[in-house]
Amino acid sequence: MQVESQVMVREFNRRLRTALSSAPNHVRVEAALEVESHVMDVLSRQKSGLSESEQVAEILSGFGSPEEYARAIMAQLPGVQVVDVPTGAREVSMAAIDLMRGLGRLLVALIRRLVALLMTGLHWLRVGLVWALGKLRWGVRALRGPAGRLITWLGRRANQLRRGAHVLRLWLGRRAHDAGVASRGARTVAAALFRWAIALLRRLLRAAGYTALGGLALAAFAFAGLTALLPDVVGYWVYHIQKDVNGYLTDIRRQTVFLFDQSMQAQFTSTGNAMLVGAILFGLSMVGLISLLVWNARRRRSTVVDHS
Amino acid sequence: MEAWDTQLRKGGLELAVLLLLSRRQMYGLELISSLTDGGFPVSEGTIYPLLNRLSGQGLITAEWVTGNLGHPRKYYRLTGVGLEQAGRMSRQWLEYAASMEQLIKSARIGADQSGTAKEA
Repeated sequence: MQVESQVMVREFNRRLRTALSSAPNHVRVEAALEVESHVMDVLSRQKSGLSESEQVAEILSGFGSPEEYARAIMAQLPGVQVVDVPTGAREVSMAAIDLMRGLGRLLVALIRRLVALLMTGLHWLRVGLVWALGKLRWGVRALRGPAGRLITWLGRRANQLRRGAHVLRLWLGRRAHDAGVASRGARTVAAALFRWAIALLRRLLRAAGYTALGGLALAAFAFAGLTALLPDVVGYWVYHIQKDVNGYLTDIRRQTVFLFDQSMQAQFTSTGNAMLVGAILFGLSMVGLISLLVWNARRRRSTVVDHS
Repeated sequence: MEAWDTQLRKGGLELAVLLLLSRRQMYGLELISSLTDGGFPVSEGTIYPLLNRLSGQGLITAEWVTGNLGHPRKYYRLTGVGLEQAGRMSRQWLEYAASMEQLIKSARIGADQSGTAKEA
């Protein structure tokens, strides 16, 4: 299928899944797969006279609009009540839900920022207050009367507050130190593991860097990353490559489809194939690297000179 | 008249699908073509929800099959329960058709003359 046709089918299926939002998940997935499979089926019969995108538009019109088709499916499902919501209202409600979610996230972020700001502000306010009261107390020591007593009293309280905060900080520091001592063993192991992983990575890279196979492995790895990053572009080519190895890949895809959430499913056709091919290439490159390492180690061992 | 015709076709569609599947397993487009050739023009938007329902009722089963085309097809097959149901529905249909035929024959306007009678 051409990219334009793929986009048309994908858009139809996206709207179909949205309209089927109250149906069980497997119904949504199956309905979308059914549409895709049917389009491919009709296209494989090679209708003459029309461009592919025109053919696809005609095939999709056989389903009615995605919302009509969804309604027809819902009407056939036992136990699912069909609520006749106008398409516009449905889209508006979906947009409203999205908007509410976005606003919710924004609100949470704002509250977190505000709390952080408040805490910082309180901290500096306290520091400033203590400093100002200290200066005032010394500056107006000679001041008598209620104002002088109030300032003195405030200064003492501020000093107490400062001492209290210092004690608390010391106490917290001790607890943190104790906790650190307890987890030192775990940290040592983690650090050792990290160093080991870095050393292994360095060896792998060194081995890969000096050989053509290493270069090939890196290229495969890059391709794997690229296929995962650019599913729409590379997935199209992968789709054509996939035709040759289609049996295995499609079986795996069908079995995996149900494990994914429907949101993943939206991009699964191209992304799934691309990621699968990427994963296979990555696996092959790793096998190549490991065999290269083994070969290298054996070669070194066999060339060690015995000085005894 | 057109609405009645549509209702009649819809009523018979389920039986038609079951009868077609009793011959052999078929995929969606194949079913649509066979039904259209057999005088039951049907759209994609009608057949797939119907197949979905029949599948849900356990009258048919569906299986994705990857052939040489490079894309999978969903093949539908009649179950034992579906076969029994098709038999029951066929008998009912024949009884109903026989009764209707008798009514038509006994009526003053024959089925083939109804158009001319109306015009007259």
